[in-house]
Amino acid sequence: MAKKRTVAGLIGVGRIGKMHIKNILTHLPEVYLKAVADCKPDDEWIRAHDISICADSRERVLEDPEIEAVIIATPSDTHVEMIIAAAQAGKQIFCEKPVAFKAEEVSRAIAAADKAGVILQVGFNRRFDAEFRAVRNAVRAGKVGTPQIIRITNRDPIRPRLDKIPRSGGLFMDFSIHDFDMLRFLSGSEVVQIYAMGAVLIDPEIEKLGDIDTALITLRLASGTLCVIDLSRETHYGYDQQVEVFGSKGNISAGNATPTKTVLSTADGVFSDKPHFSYVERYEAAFIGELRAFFTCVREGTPPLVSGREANAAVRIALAAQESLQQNRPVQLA
Amino acid sequence: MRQITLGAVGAGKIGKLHTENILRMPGVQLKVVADPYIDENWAKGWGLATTTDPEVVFSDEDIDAVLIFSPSAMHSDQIIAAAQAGKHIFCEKPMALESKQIRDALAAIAKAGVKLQIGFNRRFDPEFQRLKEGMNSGEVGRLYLIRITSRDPAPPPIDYIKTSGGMFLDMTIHDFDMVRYLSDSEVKEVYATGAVLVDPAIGEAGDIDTAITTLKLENGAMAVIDNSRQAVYGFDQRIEVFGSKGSMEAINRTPTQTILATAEGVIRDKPQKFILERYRESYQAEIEDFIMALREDRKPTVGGKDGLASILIGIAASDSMKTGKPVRVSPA
Repeated sequence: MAKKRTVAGLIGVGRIGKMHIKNILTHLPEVYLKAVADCKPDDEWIRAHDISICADSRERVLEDPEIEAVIIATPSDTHVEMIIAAAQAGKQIFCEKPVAFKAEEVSRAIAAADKAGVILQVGFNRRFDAEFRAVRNAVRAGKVGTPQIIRITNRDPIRPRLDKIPRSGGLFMDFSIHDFDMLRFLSGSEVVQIYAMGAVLIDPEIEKLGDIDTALITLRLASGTLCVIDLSRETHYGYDQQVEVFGSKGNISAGNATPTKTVLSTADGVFSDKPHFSYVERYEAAFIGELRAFFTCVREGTPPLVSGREANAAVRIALAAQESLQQNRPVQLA
Repeated sequence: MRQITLGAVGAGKIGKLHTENILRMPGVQLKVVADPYIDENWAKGWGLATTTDPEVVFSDEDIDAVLIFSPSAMHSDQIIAAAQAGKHIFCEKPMALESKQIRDALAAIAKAGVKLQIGFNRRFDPEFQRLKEGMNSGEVGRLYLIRITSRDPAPPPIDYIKTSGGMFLDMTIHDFDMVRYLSDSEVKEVYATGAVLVDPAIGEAGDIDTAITTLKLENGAMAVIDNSRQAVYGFDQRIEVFGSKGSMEAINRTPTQTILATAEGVIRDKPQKFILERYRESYQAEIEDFIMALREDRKPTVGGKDGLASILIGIAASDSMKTGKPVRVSPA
């Protein structure tokens, strides 16, 4: 007998929502994406894809008894209310990061999911990236000995649209939240101290919106490991995503992934590919992997690999980073 | 070509390296080397005249310039003695361990009207000079970030650590200078976090062996330096400059560029072992540049202000680590 497909709905059809839709339709035959909400019924892109229902109201997704799981890809500041509504409707939940801008808000979302007895998985897609998994596995296997220094480079190819910034939660909440989670993922340890320095070097308009575009964050882990994250909103040369763990026995690094590994040598020099342009290309497999893992949990009733607890920890670090930047002093985390 | 006559003070590891480089240079005579613990076998092998008393070097009328390769704590007094004797001076980094000593030494230099060059050899490394060119030519655009990884292959002996002035003044000082060199900007504020993760004996000697230092520059850009006293895979020396047009990176140099691929995996050379291998060219180039400054009677490329500025950053970094707060760097 053929396995029954999991019926899913999705709320929020922005750039990342569309990417998830495409991934489900292309790579997850075990999932039937029945309905998508927060879109215009005449949306060309949606109509070109095989989705039965395109609704402008999220109730259409949440009230459909056939839909077992929902993917929340709405703007960050709406996530908590979405999670609570979905949990109350008894749906299994996958929510994009960040879950909320405050730890209490994340806790409220976790409590709602717990009360309803549904899964809440958070979109820390980078945990599903093969490069970073290999780094983590090597670290866990003791290949680099005791970790002493972890270095993360996280730089966007091009700054986000200015109208996206006010609702983003700021650079630390929106962008380096991934790195805070990555540090916890790679080290298996918690952040105990953080100091952030930041600046507006790319676009003065970002400063007018109360945000920064460049930062260096120094962190100390409970294990004693020292860490640094460097962040930029704009490289021009692609999506710069590098991780390095240095320890008593050596060093392991994950360099940038490139579309091809070709090397062109001419009289003008030696050229290789730039890194992938954006998260869509760089983390394509990881985005598919996180959804596949989510739907496996839904089918098998197992706990998610990236739970609300992870979201909570990352948000707390991001808040401490903001506090550190504002007050220009290191902040301790309990 | 005018013959230049030199005298050296200090013939430890770094002194020997410089001495051997100088002996290969045309038009330069190294008349005498002073060291209370001179390695006679080594000196004899190179045909060197030696003394245990630095005064012999300072008072020798034939000597145009004195090269100071002694332990860091002795640098400033010897700079003053050499300047008072009217000698030009090349001094290894750090110029001193306290800013007052440096200011005294700079005053003596100014009074005597002699030249002073500080041994920031890495400014003469072809890799880092290419980064500087990338900054100057506009290839990188307006500077956003400098990222330096600087890890030694193995910690120095504990006795050395005790008189070194601490990791920031002994080791990171090169990186502080590199930030100033590449950015053409002064450092405004420093935050340093350090730990003893390599060897508890280093902690017992009052020092650290692992650190991350972040710096705010006058021009608005920022820099980060990560240091370790022990990278078991070799001398890890990497620098990246990142700006409005892109990024430029100097990666580790290796003894060979071969790649061995077998069923076990793909294996490349580790980085070059240590300073003697990695910075051979730059040690030679900095002394050559000093000799040229004497011949051409021009200002040395790396002067006393650079010596002072890097120490002030190092002192601020030490303060930051002790107080756990970001610290403003005193102006040079």
